[in-house]
Amino acid sequence: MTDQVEVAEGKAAGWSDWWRSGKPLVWLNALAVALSISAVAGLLALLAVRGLAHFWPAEVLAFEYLDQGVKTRVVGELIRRESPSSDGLEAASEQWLVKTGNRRVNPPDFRWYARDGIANLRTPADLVVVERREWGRAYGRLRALYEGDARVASGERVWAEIEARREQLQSLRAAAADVQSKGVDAIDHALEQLRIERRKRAFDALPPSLELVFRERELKERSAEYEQQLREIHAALNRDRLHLDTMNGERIELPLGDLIRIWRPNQMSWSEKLGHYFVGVRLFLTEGPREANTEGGVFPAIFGTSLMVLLMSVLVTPFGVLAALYLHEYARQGLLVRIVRIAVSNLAGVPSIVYGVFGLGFFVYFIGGSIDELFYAHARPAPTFGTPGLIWASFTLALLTAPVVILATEEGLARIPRSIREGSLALGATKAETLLRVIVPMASPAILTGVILAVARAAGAAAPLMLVGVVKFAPTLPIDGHFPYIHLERQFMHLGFHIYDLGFQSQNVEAARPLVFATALLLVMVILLLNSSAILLRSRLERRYRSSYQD
Amino acid sequence: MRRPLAFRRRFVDALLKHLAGMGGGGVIAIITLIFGYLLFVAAPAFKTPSVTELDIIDAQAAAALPTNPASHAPLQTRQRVFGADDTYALLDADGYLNFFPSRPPRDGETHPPPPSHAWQSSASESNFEPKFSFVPLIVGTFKAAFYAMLIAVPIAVLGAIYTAYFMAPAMRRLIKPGIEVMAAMPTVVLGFLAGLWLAPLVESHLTATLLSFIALPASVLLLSRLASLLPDQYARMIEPWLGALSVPLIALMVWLLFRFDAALESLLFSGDAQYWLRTVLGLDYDQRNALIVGIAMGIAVVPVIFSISEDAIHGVPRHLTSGSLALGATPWQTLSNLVVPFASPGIFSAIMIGFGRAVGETMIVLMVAGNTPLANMNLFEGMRTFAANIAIELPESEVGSSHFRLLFLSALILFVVTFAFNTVAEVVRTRLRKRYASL
Repeated sequence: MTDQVEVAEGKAAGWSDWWRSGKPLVWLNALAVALSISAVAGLLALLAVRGLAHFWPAEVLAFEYLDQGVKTRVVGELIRRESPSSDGLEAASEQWLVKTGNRRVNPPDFRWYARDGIANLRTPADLVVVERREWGRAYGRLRALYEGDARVASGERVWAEIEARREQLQSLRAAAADVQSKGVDAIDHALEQLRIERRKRAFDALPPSLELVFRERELKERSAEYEQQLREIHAALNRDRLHLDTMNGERIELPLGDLIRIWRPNQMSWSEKLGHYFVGVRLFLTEGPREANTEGGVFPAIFGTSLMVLLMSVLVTPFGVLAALYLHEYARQGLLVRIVRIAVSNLAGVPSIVYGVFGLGFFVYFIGGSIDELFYAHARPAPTFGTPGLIWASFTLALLTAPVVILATEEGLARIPRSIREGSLALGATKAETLLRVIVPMASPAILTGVILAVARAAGAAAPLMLVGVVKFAPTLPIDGHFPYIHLERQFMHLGFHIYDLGFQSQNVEAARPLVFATALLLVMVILLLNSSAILLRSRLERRYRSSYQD
Repeated sequence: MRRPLAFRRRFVDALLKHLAGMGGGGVIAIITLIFGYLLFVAAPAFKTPSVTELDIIDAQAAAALPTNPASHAPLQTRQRVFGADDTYALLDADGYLNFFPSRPPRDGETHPPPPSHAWQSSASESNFEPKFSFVPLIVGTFKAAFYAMLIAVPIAVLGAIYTAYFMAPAMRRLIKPGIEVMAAMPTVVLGFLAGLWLAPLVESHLTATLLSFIALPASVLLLSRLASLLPDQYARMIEPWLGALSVPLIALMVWLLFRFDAALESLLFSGDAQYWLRTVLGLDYDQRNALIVGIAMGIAVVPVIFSISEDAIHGVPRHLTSGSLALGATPWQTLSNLVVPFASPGIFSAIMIGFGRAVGETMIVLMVAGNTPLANMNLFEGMRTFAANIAIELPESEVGSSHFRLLFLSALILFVVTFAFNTVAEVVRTRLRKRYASL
């Protein structure tokens, strides 16, 4: 449009001409677009940098710190520097936040140091970092490895000994997991079933049957056996103990069974660091959280989110497609259709927290409570379905995302030319046959687009979910090996809520911070991927209809 | 001649028709059900207490009333009753009195304390009476939405005008989906970035943050003046690409401001901006405040407003604008006198929908607003909104209590407000679509 007309007054030379030409306002409008772009790009860049940096093995520093005449030796990773505040009240020195780890012997694990007091800064090659099951990271020097009471190696040779034991440790851990799942958990489950049986009989005023009592006794004996096995494996795991020297001369004793990873960042080559990085990413994606979610991975959250989204899609797709078929194929344009359209746009506009409140009141307390009263009377007052859980979260989010599917499907239906419907009807097909065999298959990419967008929306929705079934830590996954395999009443973990919980409910904010960035990056990447695939799908669809069906 | 259809085919035909009808009706049913259920739960909160005229009675009269042995039973309506000897009692819905030892009056507090608009649903004291006034929550909700709109509306609407009207088509094809993808950004991510990264940054660089609101437009205007000295053909060549060309300018300006924040602060606010705010303007500063909420929620709302208003502006029939340009109007005159007035219903409905979003947004406010129920409009203090209040308190609320019902009532209020905004927006948009179709 801009290249069509000359500015009438000619070239703007004076200030008033310049203002009247409208150019400055165009520039301001351009600024608005540029601001939006910068915000998007800046956000993504910030997430990418902070989220990805977390897995890189940082150098471990060692220095001496002089504070009020007392000299301490410090080992740790530099987390960030902060320039002095301009208040003029504090000493104008740069402040370093150092992760010193060793939370058990020397808390806290994050400390501030003034740059001025730091002296003799080095990166000794023999410093090791240990990631362990409890107490966060440990930093120090290898001292010795003990097998029972016997010292096997000391100093530098410890490293080789640990390497040599890696496979044995792995097989022991696998054995422990095997006994736990096939033995202990299975028996716990069976005992729980018997307990419910007992309660049911008590509810009907019957004494427990003899068979029940015998089975219970047998299971308890077997459970003791398995527990004995488990104890033996753990004893083997904890037989070897690693001794570390911290910088201040304390000694950390660490059973090898607790060891997850050990590395010497200051002498790693670039390729070793890269390998370490990818192992870190893999652990993040496949492991469960530890230490009140501040360490470990997010696997349960990924699993819970996926399962909830899957259930929600199963619920929302038929409903959304049927509603769209009604709006576009069956209904005669009139007042009723207008009301339905307003209802759809309102479903999209109602705040998500309102869905959460409705879901909690209606699904959880009303429907879930009624199910409990009818089918789980023996388990009361402990609720089964009358408490937030996976199924209610799926129902709530199905309501929330219904308009997305409806609108996308309707758009797809609108793109299909009339001539195709008329052709099908003219050949003698009924309306249902036309729709089911011709129109809906043709609109299926549009339906898929809608479902993808719905899934993306549900993956990021945290507010309604915290009311209807998401928890900060779920001890069990909603799918396991016990009948009925999918436990719809269980609470689950969700990536979006995990971010909120990590960032704002955690006791150890500094320790959780890199994990929040990594989790947020993961969530944003998943959602952007879903959305861009939906956009691509839609534009391909558009092109297809433009080229082959346009009449 | 037409043969009668087989029963199966007729059955499937009728079945699909009815299923589709149920799908369409289901949408209305869901909306009605949500409204109805929220109302059903919230309504008893309005029930007038069975005994009301017992504000102050003497101890003997109180002793004569039957007392409830289970004094910790949930009280439906609470009425304060004072005895002569400083004990006080709560009257529950069944007309029973529950006696509690009275807490001593605090300093400067008359007994009973003067009424105030406060929201305080729980406390550590045992003989505590909850205070349920929606005033701080209403003010907080409005405040958050207001500051978010203050930031989002100019950026989104001006950006939409530029994108739809001035931008090079090749760039528009990239920018529009780019900003729309932003709408899918989970608000929990925006909230966490704002709360954990932006809030401390703004706190330590307050001067730079405030200055960028002035410096960015000013520097762009200055550049535009410089560009106007260029020969016309160059000026016209860069105009469609300005959207991208200004990005480095923004980056540079923001970097400069934040780099020299300390110098600017000592120059303008004699060294401490927060101290200056407190002493000169009398404003308190919280780390998590309305400014951060406005920026974070503004970013969340921009794509919504942008997308709808861009569609409305881009859809203005071309023959109208061509006519205006042919009659000698400048592009800017065409825009401000023809295009924007023509598309204004669309822009209006975009703003309505954006406001609806901002009113009900939960995660950002929950993470960034500090959640203190304050009733003021101070840009540098936090607030608690209805949505955040529900998210915080509903999981701990006792089912069926007054507190529970009031939280449902606040959800109902959110529902009704957003329903009104969305319905108006939808009606306006439908009309506009008809008008475009008729031209």
